[in-house]
Amino acid sequence: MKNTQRILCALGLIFSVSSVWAAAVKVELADVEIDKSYEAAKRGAETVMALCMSCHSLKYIRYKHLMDIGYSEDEVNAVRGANDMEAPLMAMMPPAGAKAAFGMVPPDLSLMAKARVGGALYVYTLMAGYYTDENDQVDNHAMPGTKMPDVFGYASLKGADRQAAEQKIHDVASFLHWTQDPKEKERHELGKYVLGYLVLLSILAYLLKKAVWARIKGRTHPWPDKH
Amino acid sequence: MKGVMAWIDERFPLSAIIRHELTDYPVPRNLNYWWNFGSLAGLMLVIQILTGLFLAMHYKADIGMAFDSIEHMMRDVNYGWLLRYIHSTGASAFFAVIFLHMGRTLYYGCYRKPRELMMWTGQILLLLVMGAAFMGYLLPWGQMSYWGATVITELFGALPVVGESIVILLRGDFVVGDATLTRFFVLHYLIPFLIAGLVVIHLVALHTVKSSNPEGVPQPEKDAIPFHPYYTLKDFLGVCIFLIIFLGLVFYSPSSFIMADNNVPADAMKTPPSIVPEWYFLPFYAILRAIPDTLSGVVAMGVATVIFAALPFLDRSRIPGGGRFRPVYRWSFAAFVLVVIALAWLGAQAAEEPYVTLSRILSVLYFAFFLTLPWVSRWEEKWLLQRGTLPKEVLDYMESEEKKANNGGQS
Repeated sequence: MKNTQRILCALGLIFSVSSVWAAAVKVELADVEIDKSYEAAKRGAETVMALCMSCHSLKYIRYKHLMDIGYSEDEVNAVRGANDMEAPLMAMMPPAGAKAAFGMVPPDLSLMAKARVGGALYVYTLMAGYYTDENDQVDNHAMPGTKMPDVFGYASLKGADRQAAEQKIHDVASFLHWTQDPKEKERHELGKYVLGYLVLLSILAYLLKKAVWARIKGRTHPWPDKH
Repeated sequence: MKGVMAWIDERFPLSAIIRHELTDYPVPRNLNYWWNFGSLAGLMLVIQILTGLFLAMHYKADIGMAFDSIEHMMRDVNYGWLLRYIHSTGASAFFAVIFLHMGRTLYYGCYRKPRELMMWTGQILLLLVMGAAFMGYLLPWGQMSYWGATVITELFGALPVVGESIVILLRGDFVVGDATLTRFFVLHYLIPFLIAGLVVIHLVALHTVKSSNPEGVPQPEKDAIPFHPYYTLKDFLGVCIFLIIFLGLVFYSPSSFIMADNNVPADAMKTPPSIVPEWYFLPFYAILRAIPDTLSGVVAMGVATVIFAALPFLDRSRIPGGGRFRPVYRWSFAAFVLVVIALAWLGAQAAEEPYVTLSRILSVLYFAFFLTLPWVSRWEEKWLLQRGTLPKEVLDYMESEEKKANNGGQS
């Protein structure tokens, strides 16, 4: 029994820290809770489309998908301009222009909250990580030497302005959390029913197993007709 | 219904098969829950094949389309996200179940005579599952997929004379690219069916020698119970509990089994800061990296994977079973499990001190478990017989086996 327990404990450990296997550059993540509600995602979408999409695309999200986080059809029509409902969210700056300006094409943001250790919290930490160093240059704690400009002007904001920017950044993180896995809410909902069913089934399976095995309990010759 | 069965039985031995393999098939009555993992492995094979089948209907094995096709499945295909997450989490669940099944086999000595062929078919099955997993991992064409495949296929270049050619044969090109992706997809689709066939052989071998049991000593025939309904129900209960854990992870934590870097499309120009395989390969990866010479590292990794097959020969003890009556073996096995877990952790660390030295020490210990077994097992047997603490049934069994061996020699 001791060995069984030992092995099970070790296995529990492995599974609980499995996410740590992905060794990456260590970034001190901000102490903030990501709002996973669709209201926050919608607010974030507005900021992303206004600020981020000048350089970044979100090619796995199509305009029609915005209706899943609470946009009405009219609201989507208002933001998509000449693009179709089916069209993906593409950056305004063409890739060639971006490469000339920044030296690289700004990465697509659809999966950004999944592509970094820390997820949406990393995105928040990055956007709120801008600061002015001793040479009066703007740099970033999470991505030192980054070529991405401080679009919120966060490094130079103070007081109420800084709070407002933090709220906007918080919403951007919420939106990007949605874009990396739009089916998360549905998955969690369905999961409740699946696991609930399995728990009930397990109880019944256990009772049936016990009842059938009771037939041979204590009997020294459990299968007399065979032998 | 009876009429239908009779019609079939005239043309196919269906009733006879059901009787012989299920309702009339004798199993020891004292099997514990460690014996459930074989059926769970079979379940995972079926789950992976079914989800894989439907994923393959939407997947595009082309380097320009692979990553996008998976996002298409995650977002547009009805319940595509569920298929994908079951399949990706399923790979980890499959290995977890296999390792536990192997642990049972090692601890209870189920590899010993007359079950050697079961051990060897099992060993080949392990290699096939590892191959399928390795190739499947390339398919999403993420950063870790690409670079992991590059690192591992590069290793074969260390083989003398044929090394370079083998690397090109594996990749289909000088570098990992479209040719690699296409052939890995084909082989990833094929191997599970080879696995299924070998599982059938594994089960035929099992039904020939019948299950071992926790006591190690073959139980009296009159104590056997039919597989159906006793073990069908027990296995079903095991499946239900397993599914709670497995589907719990699928629905509530599937991303923890997909490395962050693999959500970035593969970029041949950008090497990730740390290239790490999935957790189930980590112990072997640690052994590979522990040895500075590439070829020796590859050989050591290979041997570490297949050395289990040698166990029927390495274990020289005549005391039946595994750890049940053998305290030295029991503790060696426990130490072995800890060594494997520690190697797994080390495999994920950067290749620097003190991890390198630790990996070397633990790799030696890993092989030591197997290579010291011939002497340790014989010494332990002598010591236990001297101590006189072995139960009568064990001594009786050893005596009867001795008699059988002597009689066989004489005639």
